[in-house]
Amino acid sequence: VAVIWRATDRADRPVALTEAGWVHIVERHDDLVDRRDDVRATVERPERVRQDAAYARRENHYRRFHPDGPWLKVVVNYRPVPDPPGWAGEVVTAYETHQLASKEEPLWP
Amino acid sequence: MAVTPVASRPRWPVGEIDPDRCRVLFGLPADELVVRFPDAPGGGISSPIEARDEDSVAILVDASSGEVVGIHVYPLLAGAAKHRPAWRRLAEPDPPAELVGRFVAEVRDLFERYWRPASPVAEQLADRRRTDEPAAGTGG
Repeated sequence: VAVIWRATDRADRPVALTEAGWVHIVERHDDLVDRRDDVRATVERPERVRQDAAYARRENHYRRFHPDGPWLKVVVNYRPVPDPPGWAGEVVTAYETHQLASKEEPLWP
Repeated sequence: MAVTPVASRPRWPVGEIDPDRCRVLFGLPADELVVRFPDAPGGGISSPIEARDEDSVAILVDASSGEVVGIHVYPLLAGAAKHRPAWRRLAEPDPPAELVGRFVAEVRDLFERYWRPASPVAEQLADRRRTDEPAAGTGG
């Protein structure tokens, strides 16, 4: 799997954006085509992290890049990895939204 | 670029939306559906429709014009389709135009009945509950 970047989330877990994940994002949200670095910054330095309402292993990272602007929401799916033992994440989608999803539980901060 | 949050009601396109000309984009593993209206510009900010007991259905709003340019559902199979089983077929390749037309009409009805402007950010950040527990054993 081609990896575009690897980052570390706020809990020191590795998170990757793959080429397939990026294609999924920009095919649906083409206004993010120049914002790969913002997607990464949202994973590394989120303002809020919330538990996905439907998927137990997904955490949704939110960050604003302007005080009056929308949230960039980055959905990361985590899976257990053996070496070293722990968890690793992969970005499954990202999009801009005006609202934190109301059914999500706050995880951080 | 600064984008003003949607404070006024977005405008649904005037006239009939031809389901044959909508672009239907479903993707796994994200479980995310986007339906783009014909001739609409790309992009758009997801603005949730908080209908009854769910919030996985949203409209895509063009930030500069305030026009609804499409529909966004996240998640579809694990979310919205649990309440509306017919929508599961939107995850199949090339769903029939009749189904797409019904879907667009249903979302328009939800939009007209339930859409509200986004809450002020301070209100959004006043989380109802907090937990220090990692999610589902993911170590977070």
